[in-house]
Amino acid sequence: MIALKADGTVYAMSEPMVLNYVHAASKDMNENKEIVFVKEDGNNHNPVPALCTAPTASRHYPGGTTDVVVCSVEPSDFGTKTYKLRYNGKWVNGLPDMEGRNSENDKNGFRVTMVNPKAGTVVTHTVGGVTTNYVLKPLAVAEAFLPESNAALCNDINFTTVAQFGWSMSDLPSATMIPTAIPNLGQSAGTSKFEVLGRQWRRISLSIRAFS
Amino acid sequence: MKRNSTWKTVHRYGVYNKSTGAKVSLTGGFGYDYTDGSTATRGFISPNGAWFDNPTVAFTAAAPTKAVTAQNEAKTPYTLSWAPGKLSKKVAVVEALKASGPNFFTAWVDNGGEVDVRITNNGGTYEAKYYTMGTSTQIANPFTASVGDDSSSPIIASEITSNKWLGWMHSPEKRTQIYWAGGASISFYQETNMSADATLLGKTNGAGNTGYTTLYAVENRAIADATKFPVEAATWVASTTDAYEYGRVNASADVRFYFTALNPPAGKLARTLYLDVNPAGPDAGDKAIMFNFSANERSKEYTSFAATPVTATLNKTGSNLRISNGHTSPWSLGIQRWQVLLTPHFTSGALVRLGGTTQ
Repeated sequence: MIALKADGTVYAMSEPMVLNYVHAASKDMNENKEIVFVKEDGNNHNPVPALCTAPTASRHYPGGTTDVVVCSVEPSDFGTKTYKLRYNGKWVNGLPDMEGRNSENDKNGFRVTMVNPKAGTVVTHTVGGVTTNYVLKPLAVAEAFLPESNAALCNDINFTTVAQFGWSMSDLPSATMIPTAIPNLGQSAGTSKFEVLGRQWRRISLSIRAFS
Repeated sequence: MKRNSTWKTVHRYGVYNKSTGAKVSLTGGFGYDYTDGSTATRGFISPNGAWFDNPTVAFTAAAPTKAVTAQNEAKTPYTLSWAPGKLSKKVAVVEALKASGPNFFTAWVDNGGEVDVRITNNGGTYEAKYYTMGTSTQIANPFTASVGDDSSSPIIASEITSNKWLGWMHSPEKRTQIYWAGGASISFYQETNMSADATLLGKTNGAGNTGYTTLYAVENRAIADATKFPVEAATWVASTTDAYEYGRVNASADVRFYFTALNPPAGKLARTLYLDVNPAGPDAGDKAIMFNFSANERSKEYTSFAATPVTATLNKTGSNLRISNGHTSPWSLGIQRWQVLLTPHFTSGALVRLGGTTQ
């Protein structure tokens, strides 16, 4: 499949650029963190079985029959592996990811990228024996709160008064602090434009009367 | 939940030159809007092919183009041009293994299924050991065949010399099949898509070269059986030959093909590989190396390019067109129509040779 431009010539797509990334936990945005998720048994590539429990025959996705496993992943699990990333001008592909769920009872899954290099991480591109250094910069990042395993830490949270949220009513902005949009008539050089604005103001005032 | 700890997932990275800070600018694919009948829908094109949200869309030999509008501010119009296959150039590449630390590959073994293969330099002798995937558990006897593969005797060059099949592995890093002959390097093919090559597509004039480029098979077993092409659906389903062997002919080196340009010879499809049956250039007896139907994996229907849709199960064991069991990837229907091997000495006007393989 090719795309032809309006003049009949071919829309040429660049060959994807292959970038060499040598992983280290210290290069990862999630260093020292661990994400735990549930997935169906069967795909032994992402993550590898060693990071997951044995299949649980009594646990399945809603309506499913495949056994689920529970996987725990942290950046150090990937050691110093080398990844060949492919950059096509819009996306960098090749970092291990997969779809997981918070529990087997969830109907919807979420995509987890398990290796997420920090901004400024160096990757290399080699052509004809010449290596050039490039850096990665995250342009779109999603964050998911990690679960707190110690439920007792939530025991003291009480939301019966505003103060227990950590702020008071006086912290709320008052109406006078909210700026009101005022037409800049000084920039309305033409008479006709001023008249249009005038009609808009009349229409607004009529509306107010109607409601009052 | 911890309100002070999150897991960050990066959905998009930019790539910048470390020295200059300049953003790397490549011309990638793009998303587009199009109309299918009266329904507005969308898709995207990338170096891997095109995706249509509406799965009923199919290009045919009679309707090989579709107008789309890029999803950009200018709403740039494009015409997508279908071709029944993909022309690739393959160049053999030799690359040195890391001298220290393990080099990771995967392979299928008799006792363990898909496993890790780790090749290391042991005092100048490279050796391979097999491990249960993702673990440090070495497989003591991965092969039923009597090869020296126990824990104390890893695979080395002499073993591969006697059992050459041992050298085939997959590289997760390079995402391709590699061959290790037992030494300090591996070899693999680097494949370049030539389907949009300006020289090939621009062939318009020249003696004996009007609208096409002549290609020759470089080896036997090329797809040169004129009785098999173009492949009809009913014939394909009834055939007991698998996809790889279909249409191949022994002693077919130097058999002549041609690849048509954007403005093809009269009566020929653009960007299509033809078997030059009467090797004198395009004529009515030449055969397009293509399937003469499209198939919809979701609906289990195939549509002959010359007739109406037929609801049928294209279940052909061992072939790329097995769609009834739901395990075969849809792109095997859309992309892997034919693939040819060009020599690395591809230059304008030069004789270009190919080793024909169907995939």
